[in-house]
Amino acid sequence: MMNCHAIRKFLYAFADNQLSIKANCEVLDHLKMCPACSRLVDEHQSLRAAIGKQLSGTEAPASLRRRILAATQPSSIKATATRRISWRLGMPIAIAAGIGLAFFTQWGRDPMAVVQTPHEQVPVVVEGGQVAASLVAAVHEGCCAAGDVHHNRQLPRSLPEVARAISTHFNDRIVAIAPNLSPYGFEFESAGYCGVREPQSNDGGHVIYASADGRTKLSIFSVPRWDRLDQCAAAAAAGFESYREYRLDEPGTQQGLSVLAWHLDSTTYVCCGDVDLTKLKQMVGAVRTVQGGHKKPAQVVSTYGVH
Amino acid sequence: MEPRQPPRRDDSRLGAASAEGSFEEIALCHLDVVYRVAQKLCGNAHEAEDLAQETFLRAQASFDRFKLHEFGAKPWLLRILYNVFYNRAGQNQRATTLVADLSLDDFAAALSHEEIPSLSTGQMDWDNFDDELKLAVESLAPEYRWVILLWALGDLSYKEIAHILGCAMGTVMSRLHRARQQLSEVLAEYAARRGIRPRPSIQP
Repeated sequence: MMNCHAIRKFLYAFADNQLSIKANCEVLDHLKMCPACSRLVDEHQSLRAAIGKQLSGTEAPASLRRRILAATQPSSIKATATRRISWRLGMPIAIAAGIGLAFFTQWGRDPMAVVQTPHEQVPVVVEGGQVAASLVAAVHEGCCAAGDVHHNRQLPRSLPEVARAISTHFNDRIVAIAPNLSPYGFEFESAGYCGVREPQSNDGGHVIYASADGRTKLSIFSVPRWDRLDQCAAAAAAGFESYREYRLDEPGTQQGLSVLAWHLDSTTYVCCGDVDLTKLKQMVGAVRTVQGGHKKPAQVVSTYGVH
Repeated sequence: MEPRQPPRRDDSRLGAASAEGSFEEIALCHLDVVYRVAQKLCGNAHEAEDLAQETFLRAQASFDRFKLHEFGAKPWLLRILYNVFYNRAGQNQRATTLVADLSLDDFAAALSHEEIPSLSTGQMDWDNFDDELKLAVESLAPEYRWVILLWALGDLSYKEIAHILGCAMGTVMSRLHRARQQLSEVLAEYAARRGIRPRPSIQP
């Protein structure tokens, strides 16, 4: 029979049930005679149980499970939007602080139910996405309704200067926060600090554009990390330049808003306006591809929301 | 006397896993384990979610090539998590804190009763140290933390752990021993400060 010194080489492997049957029997024979080695085995197993206990019990958040499930569905990459939601929240229209605070307070709450898209048969879950898109719309509408009051007097009046000021202040990408949309028929109208960048912080660039007839407005501003809510990060990891897109229609009318969100340099930006989503993607996508220095063409990886 | 080969797992099958079932059926059922290990590794729920999410996205990308019969889905996913973890931390940080791995003889020498300090191997009542044990595990160098966490899962063989960590089985055993020794030292100091008396020493 082996002595303690010889047996202890294999004691932990025995305790972990890693030995062959023959070796197991040899160790067992020794343990019958040796309380010291038995105690080592007991302690080894109790340590594993103690750490194992700390590892058990924690379940992955349901939202994470849904995100992964949605992201790993083969057809989720190009899920088609089919359901529309009302974006009228009934919240008072205000600009700057009021909206920003409401935006942050609501951000990420009120998980959206599973949206079954009839054409693709893919359940797409965007936790908080419905509320988030609606709040984007509310900020857009509130700031646009304010007209010239929206413009922050400390900011210049020309787009290039505004772009420089905002990007310097927040370290934003100029092309993301204040692109030149003249080729698409939209001119700079006003800029303010109505965006929301971080928790407890109520500022961030917000640039508004208007069509030549002044009837259609477009907003671009920053919002809290969208990728905490849906699959931006997942899509980025998969190698896509991703957008989140929503179409929010006003029930009973032909009007509505398109919301496009994208993630860049740790900031999420949104573009919102009553413009067809395809055109909106062309506008922002072209800007990002050409002026933003992205080598990959922008791709739409998911369309959510709305019918 | 050599460690035995791990038994074949129930999910051992020939061919690509994708032919045996969907990604959801084969992989997603291990999400809790991947998330728990990720959380213990980074100590941050958000980061753990990111790690787990990236792990499953990468897993899905290679699902067609993954063969269940080699080790099973859990070690495969944990190996991806391991790679994701170190890719994020930066390759330079990998294993830089490790001293040379021990041999089995070192193993035995370290366990000999002559070298047992006042409160060490064989004398520790781990149940008294729930919170402290958690902190002690968190204080381990990442490679030691990895091995101790994988070991504590309880159902991975040394060979599977070696596969996950990309090292030899002997390295797993020596790292496990070293990690265990460090936990004992940290908790012994704590016990001494709190005046907890060790169990009576039993001489062989």
